[in-house]
Amino acid sequence: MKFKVMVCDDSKLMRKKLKNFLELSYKDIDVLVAENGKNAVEVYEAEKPNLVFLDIVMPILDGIGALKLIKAFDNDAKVVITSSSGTKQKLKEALESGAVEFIQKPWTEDKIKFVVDKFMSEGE
Amino acid sequence: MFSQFLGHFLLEEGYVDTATLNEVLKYQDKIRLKLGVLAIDLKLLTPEQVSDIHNTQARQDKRFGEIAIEKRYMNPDQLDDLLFTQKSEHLRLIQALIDKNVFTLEEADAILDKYKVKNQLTDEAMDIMKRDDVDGMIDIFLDFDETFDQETCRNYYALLIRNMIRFVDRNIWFEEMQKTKEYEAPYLITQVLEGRDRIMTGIAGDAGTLLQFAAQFANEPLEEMDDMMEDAVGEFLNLHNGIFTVNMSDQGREMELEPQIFLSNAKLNGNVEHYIVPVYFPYGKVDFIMGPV
Repeated sequence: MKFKVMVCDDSKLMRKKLKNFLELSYKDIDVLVAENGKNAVEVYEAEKPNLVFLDIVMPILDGIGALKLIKAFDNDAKVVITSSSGTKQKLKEALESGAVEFIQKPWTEDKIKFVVDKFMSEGE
Repeated sequence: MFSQFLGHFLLEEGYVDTATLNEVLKYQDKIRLKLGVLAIDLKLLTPEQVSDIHNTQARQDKRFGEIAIEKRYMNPDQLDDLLFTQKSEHLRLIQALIDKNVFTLEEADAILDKYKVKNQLTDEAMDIMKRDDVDGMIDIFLDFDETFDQETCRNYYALLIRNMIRFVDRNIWFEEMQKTKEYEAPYLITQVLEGRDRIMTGIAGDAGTLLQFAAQFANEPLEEMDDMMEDAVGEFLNLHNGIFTVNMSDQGREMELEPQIFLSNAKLNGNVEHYIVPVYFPYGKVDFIMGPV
């Protein structure tokens, strides 16, 4: 079964860049996208992806709000927060809400690969 | 950046026309040495170390040399040598003007003196310009005395100039800060910083200029004023504001970012002053706005 990753960012450009990078880097991967926190919760509940990349600052429902709802639905959800605002407070808030990693934007290819490889190997 | 300030002076004083200046600046770009390239050339760093520093720099608001020292890739004396060599970078525009037979060496020297006099720069200020010292240039050209929060505004704009050089284009120069209650622009992307105070930040410009700015930042061939262009400009603002909130948080002041808003035919009016720094790119002017909400 293919490893399923969801990319949630309100920026179409950032969604496209991360999706393209993941699809070019991994053969057996399905990349789903969501454009805000509410949409991310809906896609998660329908598809139960193995890994989620979630932005924080988004309209309708922000990343931390979406993370809490996703964790309430599935306590084993693996959610990586990606945000340009990497303050200690934000990091603490994300980890306390159940995030498994925090990546400050702009993300690097090495960092994304490190995280995907880690959770891919855990699922094997 | 000093090349752009000087280039603008040459145009304004009628020493060169736009076509000649563009040709010279283009030529100068070819002979510019980046700090990393210079360090490799001087055998102070390996290409892998330079790449590691660049990756770190993309995530942290730190200078190349600062990171190199932190990672123990070089010692402070070696950094001094590197920076001393790089100081001569300002001579590249002069070299390019001479190479292209626009001026002789003597004429170029006299023009530098005229630039110094016209801008009422001390020897120390001129050294700051020649070193492309962003913080120093900010203090020379931008007056924050009457802003709503001097320290915040200064830190914000100094980081902004550094982020533009880092993520968009190093060929920029900026004009004095303007203060206004009323402002209009064809396009404006805003983001509010919420903390002790609510601060509005924004990027404004015309369609053609913002499109090129967006394409450069996104590293994508954007050709239309569509949501991809809005996203790219908005993402630069979000990225810059995100790094700014990290810096502020390190100083004990927490701020939250709100989602960006894109406006066309934008008008700002009301009782509060907005502070605008016009920044010039090779393809046009972009205004960077800040003000209390």
